[in-house]
Amino acid sequence: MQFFVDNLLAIISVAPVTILLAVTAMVIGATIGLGCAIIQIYKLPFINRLVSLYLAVIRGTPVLILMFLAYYGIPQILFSLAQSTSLNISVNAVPPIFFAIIALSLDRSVYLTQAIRSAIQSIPNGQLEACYSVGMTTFQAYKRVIIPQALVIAIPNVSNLFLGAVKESSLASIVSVVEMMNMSNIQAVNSYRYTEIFIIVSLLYWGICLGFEFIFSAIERRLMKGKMTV
Amino acid sequence: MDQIIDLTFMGSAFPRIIEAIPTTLVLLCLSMLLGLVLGFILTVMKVKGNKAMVLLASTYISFMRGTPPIVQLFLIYYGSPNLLSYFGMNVDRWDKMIFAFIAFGLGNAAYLSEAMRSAYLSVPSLQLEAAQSVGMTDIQAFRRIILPQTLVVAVPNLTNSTVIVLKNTSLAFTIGMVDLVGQARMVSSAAFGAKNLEVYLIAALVYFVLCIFIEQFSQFLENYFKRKMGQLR
Repeated sequence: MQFFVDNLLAIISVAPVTILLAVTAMVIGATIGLGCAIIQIYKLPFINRLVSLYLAVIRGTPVLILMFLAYYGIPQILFSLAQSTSLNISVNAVPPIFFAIIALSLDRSVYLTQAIRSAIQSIPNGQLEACYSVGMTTFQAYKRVIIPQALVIAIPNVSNLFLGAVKESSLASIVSVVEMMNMSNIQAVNSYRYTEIFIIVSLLYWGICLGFEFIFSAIERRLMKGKMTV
Repeated sequence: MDQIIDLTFMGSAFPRIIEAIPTTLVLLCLSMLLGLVLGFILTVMKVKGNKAMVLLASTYISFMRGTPPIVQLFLIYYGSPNLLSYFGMNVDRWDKMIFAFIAFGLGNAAYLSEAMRSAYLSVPSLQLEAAQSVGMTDIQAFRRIILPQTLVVAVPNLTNSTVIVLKNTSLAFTIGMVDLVGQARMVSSAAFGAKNLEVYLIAALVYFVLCIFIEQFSQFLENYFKRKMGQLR
């Protein structure tokens, strides 16, 4: 029992890193996703094609590979750049969590693009026209009318994507970020009791996911309250 | 080093890395197969079962959806030898593929059962009643009326799951399997770890192409089922 509690506490102590990874990935992913979604909705010539290609490539690549590409690739590129330009750039001081966040953000951005685009497109076009008719600019219309409504619609998807981000953050353990998965690896190697430790960490992930699911559904219920139905 | 990406190295590494495609594909197929069978059982439990069975299936699905695939893989790989030794089974010599496909299959079953259940529920129950009214047995009605309609609805979801499983199989290298990632790492080590960017770019490309194949195949399947149902001419 003591063993169970000790390890549980040790793994919980790094849970903030897992949450940090997931939240940062979602925020950066949403920023990229919003940009991509707007480009896709307005079908900007040429850039639209590029965005589609970007989405397809990232969607078809495992997060693990993205993680490796960020972790090994970025330093390698910067190293060759530093050599050829004789600039003094070094990534040795950059903590690995930085590369993990890049990889996770890229992956999330693809799915967030879809979520944001479908949410914005689910708002009838008449709303935008109504905004124009009272003299709003496109930016104002989006900010005041379209986005607030789209956010509510997007919540279930965003909730799923966030839970996905929490789970995918476990891959950061492979690039030596000490989050929950890596911590349990460390504990398992120290105690040779792999089964127990991985049961503990799986229960923890499950608990975190259930907790966030509850929070998101509470938010959704709260926001739906003000929504007028026909 | 005058160029950032060593293209000649990529050319020579490419054939060595794609040698591992069969391993990845076998793992994918076995995981999908186990996932489909288990997912079907879970769906039946949730749709037809009593309260205890529904609770059991829901808990299983919730757990599998709430834990990362890598944790599931480690649980199976490190946990099952312990568990099975209680029953006097020695699994030390089992191939790693077995652990990997069991872990991915178990996790995948949860997602597949959700896809199957939503597809099954999308067929109106009137269809079943109509089939019974013309004298079909339950099994006949399921096979002839319900299943074909379910398949059309389920194909896009199943494709998504297949793509996700394909991407998850990349985790198999963490337990020492030589799949695409494992092979890429070996090629990279053989080059003294200086060509990481190149080998992972190749791996990314291969996964991307495999995903496109899966999507094309599913498009073909969807059209095939639709045509069979007379929805598409």
